[in-house]
Formats: sequence, C-alpha cells, structure tokens
Amino acid sequence: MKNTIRFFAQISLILGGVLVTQTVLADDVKVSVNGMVCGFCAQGITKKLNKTEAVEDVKVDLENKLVSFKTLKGKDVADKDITELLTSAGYTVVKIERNKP
Amino acid sequence: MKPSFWRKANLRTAIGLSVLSTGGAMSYGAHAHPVVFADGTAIMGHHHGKMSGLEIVYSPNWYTGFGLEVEKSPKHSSLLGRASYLAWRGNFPDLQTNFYLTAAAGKKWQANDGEIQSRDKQHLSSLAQWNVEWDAEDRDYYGRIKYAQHFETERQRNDETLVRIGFAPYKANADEPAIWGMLEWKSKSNNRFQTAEHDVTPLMRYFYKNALFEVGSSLSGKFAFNYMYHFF
Repeated sequence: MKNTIRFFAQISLILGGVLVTQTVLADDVKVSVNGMVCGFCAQGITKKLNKTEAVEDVKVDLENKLVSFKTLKGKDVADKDITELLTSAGYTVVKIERNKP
Repeated sequence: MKPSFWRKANLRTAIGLSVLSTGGAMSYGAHAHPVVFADGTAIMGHHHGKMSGLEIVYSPNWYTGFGLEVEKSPKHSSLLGRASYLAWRGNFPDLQTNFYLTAAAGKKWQANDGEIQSRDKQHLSSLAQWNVEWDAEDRDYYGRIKYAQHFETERQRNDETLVRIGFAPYKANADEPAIWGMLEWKSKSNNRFQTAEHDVTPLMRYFYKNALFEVGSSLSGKFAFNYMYHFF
C-alpha cells in the first residue's frame, strides 16, 4: 500500500512539474546584438525588455554580445517585435535564436 | 534686472542640494552623458577645483535627452535647461559610437567683484550654449571630443574644448565592476580665443551596473570628482 502511494505521489510530482514548465515557459531566446559595450547599455536593454509582459529573466552578456531571456507560454514574442524593441532601445539586432524547453 | 524671490529661492535650493549631495566637493562643468537610454533618468555631478555642478537628465527615447543643471563656484552660480539630440549612433560588434548635438539656455548670477557675498552685489545675465560631441567606446578603449560655445548677454563668448581618452585594464561584463583610467584635456578661452586656460586631469573611473564615479586631480592641483547614477 505504502509503495503504491509513493508511486502515485512521484508520478503526480513529475506530471505536475512538466505541466508547470509547459504552462510557464515557452522559448529560451538568444539575441545577438551590436553596440553593447557597458553596464548602462545592459541596463537600458533590460529595462526595455522587462516592460514586455511575455518576457522574463533578461540577461545581457557583453562578452558574447548576447541578450537572452525567456518567454511565457501563450504570450510569445515574435522576432519582428524583438527586433523592434531592441532597435527602439538604440541597438542593432544581428540574429535571433530560440530553444524550446 | 534682479532675479525674483521665487527664482532666487529655487536656485538656492538646487545649489544646496547639489552641494549636499556631493559632500561639498568642487566641480567643473563637464556635462557627462547627454542622452541616457529610452525612458531613463540619470543624476550626474561634476566637480573640479572650486566649481561644483549637479544635473538631472531624462530621456524619453534613446536619441533625446532633457536636462536641468545647476552649477556653483565662489564667483558665480547658474541654472541651465538643456536639450540633447543623438544625431547618429554607430553600433558595431565591439564598439559603439555616438554624435550628439546640444543646446542649452539659462541664467547666471555673477559676483560683480570678488566672491559672492550678498545677493545685492550680483550681476544677473542670460546664458546660451551649444555644443557638438562625439564619443566612441568599446570594452577596452574610450574616446570623447566635445566643442562648446557659451554666450552671455553683456559679456563675451566663451569657447570650450574637451578631449578624453580612456583605457580599461580588463574587459568587464555587464554585471561585473569595471575600472578605467582616463585622461582629460580641457581648454577654455574667453573673449574669442584672446585668453585661454588649459588643464589636464588624470582620472580613475569606477563603474558598476548603473553607478559610475571618477576621482582625479588635475596637473594644476585641482581635485576632480564626477559621478553618475542611472535610475532603473
């Protein structure tokens, strides 16, 4: 009996985790950006992207010239919109890559 | 014409805040960052010798900036409103370069003789200023050139040229503290280049996320302290 309960509890946890992940996160987006050279650039870009409801966990990597963030499921941000956001922040988008979780 | 009570009171408050916020250090009118970032606000202070100044700048987008600056020395105090336009930006893989145009206007209270001691002995004049500025920066090197003309009613035109070069001993990422060595050359000429002052100031710049400050001393022995804080 104990083993059966444990089995169902584990299955529930696994399914719950998968469900939560699929509900919360859609894409892992990496954008190559030209013109980022300092912390103020990073701050401006982070502020701009954080204003978008679908975007979470913005990170700026000056070394690799990358802006990465996650998008929420059901609120995806199109490449065109990402380019527009970063252009309106004063930077040039070179390439956009997406990884599905 | 004497300044109204309201104007005097506000200038006094602004100068008081400037001096308080910088611990009473002295400044040089080096207007540092004409445009912040889209919807960004920054506060900047600059100090050199016996001059101190404080400026607040707001940028509604990435290419314009609007600032209000107060400046004080023993012989004068001034209040300037400033509008800057980032006319061109070059974004390259490891480099950003910008060309700015700025216009400013305001008022200056100048002591008639010696230091400012009483409001009755001051001379009030209107100020206008324009400048062009170019900067380029990667994660190793920094360069800035600025040329400005200041006009005062009933007084002569002043010209100002500033050149800055900088070097970072290591490449800091966005979330790491950065250190820069800077060398600033500044020339001010009065009365259409008839008299000129030159000053060279080595500075150390410390930069972490949204805060920056610089400390140095000019070759003529003037202490320099500048800071900048970007509100998130």
